[in-house]
Amino acid sequence: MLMLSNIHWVLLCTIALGALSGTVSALTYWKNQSLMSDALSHAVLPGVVISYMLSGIKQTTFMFIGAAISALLASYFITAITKHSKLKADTAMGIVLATFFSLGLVLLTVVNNMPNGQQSGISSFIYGQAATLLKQDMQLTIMLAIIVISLILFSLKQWRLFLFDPHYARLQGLNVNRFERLYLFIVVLTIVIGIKAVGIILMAALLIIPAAASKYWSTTLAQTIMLSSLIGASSSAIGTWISTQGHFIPTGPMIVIMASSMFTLSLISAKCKAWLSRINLKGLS
Amino acid sequence: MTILSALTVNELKIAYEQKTIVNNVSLTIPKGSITAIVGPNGAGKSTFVKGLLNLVPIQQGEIKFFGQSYQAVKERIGYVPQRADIDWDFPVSVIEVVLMGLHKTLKWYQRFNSQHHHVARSALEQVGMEAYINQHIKQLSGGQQQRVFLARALVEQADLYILDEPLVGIDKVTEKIIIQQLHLLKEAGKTILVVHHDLNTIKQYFDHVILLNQELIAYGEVETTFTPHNLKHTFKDTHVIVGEPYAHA
Repeated sequence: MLMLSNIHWVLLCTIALGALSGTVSALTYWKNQSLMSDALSHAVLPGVVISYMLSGIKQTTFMFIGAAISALLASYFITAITKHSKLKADTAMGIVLATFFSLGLVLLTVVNNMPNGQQSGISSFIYGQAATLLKQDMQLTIMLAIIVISLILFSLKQWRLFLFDPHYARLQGLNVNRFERLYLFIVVLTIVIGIKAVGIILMAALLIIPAAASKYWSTTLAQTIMLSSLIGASSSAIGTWISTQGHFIPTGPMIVIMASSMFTLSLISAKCKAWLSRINLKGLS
Repeated sequence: MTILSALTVNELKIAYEQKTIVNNVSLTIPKGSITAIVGPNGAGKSTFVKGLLNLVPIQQGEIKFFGQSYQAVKERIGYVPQRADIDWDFPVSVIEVVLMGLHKTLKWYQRFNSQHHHVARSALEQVGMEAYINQHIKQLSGGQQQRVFLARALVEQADLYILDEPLVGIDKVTEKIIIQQLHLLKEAGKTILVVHHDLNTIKQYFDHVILLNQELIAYGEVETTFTPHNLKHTFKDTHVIVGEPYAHA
């Protein structure tokens, strides 16, 4: 067993989480579903709280089942509303996101008013509490992150086809429906792994920002995935490190601030690059 | 008879949310022909070809490719989607797009090897795109993007090719290359089906034509079918100058 202090474990865990959410963000971004991952992150709350109410423990397996049911219901409602109401998908997502999250908050209050409710610290699901993670949970997070990232990298040729041109993917014999389910499973799993550490609201950000930042620097899907994974991991590392320097700076928000700083830098330097090349072209002609 | 036909459609109907888009289409396309699908905007041309390929559900009717069901012969059918259906910002290089056409030849765990790269490269040479192999598809012009898609279809080594508006928004050079390649395929005995918008070039490029406006207006050889009378019937809701077929944008 590695002899690591708790702070090191927390650091490793948030880095793994950052790399994982960075990787998954590349999938959601290029599936044009950034908003959907936002909706799903919020929608897992009632499921997580109910599974806690039923089991009485903050155990990852139970929470995952609850979160998955909740997320699947939410995505079903979003599809059903879009189909039957002629509302646009973003409107449907907004409605479902807010409703599920509110339901989760109400249930959370009920749980907190139960005996032993406060001590369970279940409110941390909203904001996350990286420093209070148990060692087993952190090890599980790191293991799952490695498995999911390897799975995605191993099936890159399928993801490329599926995300780029789903119709053509079907003609090429790819089981598109199975990939839709696998995609949803990976997104929900990532959310569930992440919410304990950084919380629901910030998990949504980590599933959007890294891919948006990497967009300016990559020609291929492999590059995009590696870069957004790197952006996720490094903003987690820096954010966690800063928050451990005292002053009670919360980890999750610091990570997200780091990620959006990287996004801003990417955006500015991409614009500068385009501007410079235009000047060069003018100079040549 | 079925042996000689590449595609047989019988009373095909496609509807979306109670709105009929394609209705009552029956036709038989002979092997080795090159056919244009023509009709006004919203006539259901794109939906028709997607229905053939099982990409949208059909309400009723029967579709046979080479006398068999789509599932049985899907390996033998190549497809080029409309350029508008594609997100050209997507991070993918030219060679990666062409390699997608070889996806069905691989097991799920196999990777593309040098042989696959060689096949993709020669297809890109055929359409004059070999200099752009590692470029991002966003950096290409509309015509170059369309040529890359044609290369992707070429590596499929199909017997029937279905192309959705391949000549929209492209340059003259690309149009020439695409038509040249399609005619080479036809000479090799392949069957080609093209959704086409430019009435001026029908007689020059195609030997068969399908006139579609939700229902099948007429189908047959260009000489006998592409007549002012049929065109007037096809474009009845739009202002077409009969006898002087114009480019329908």
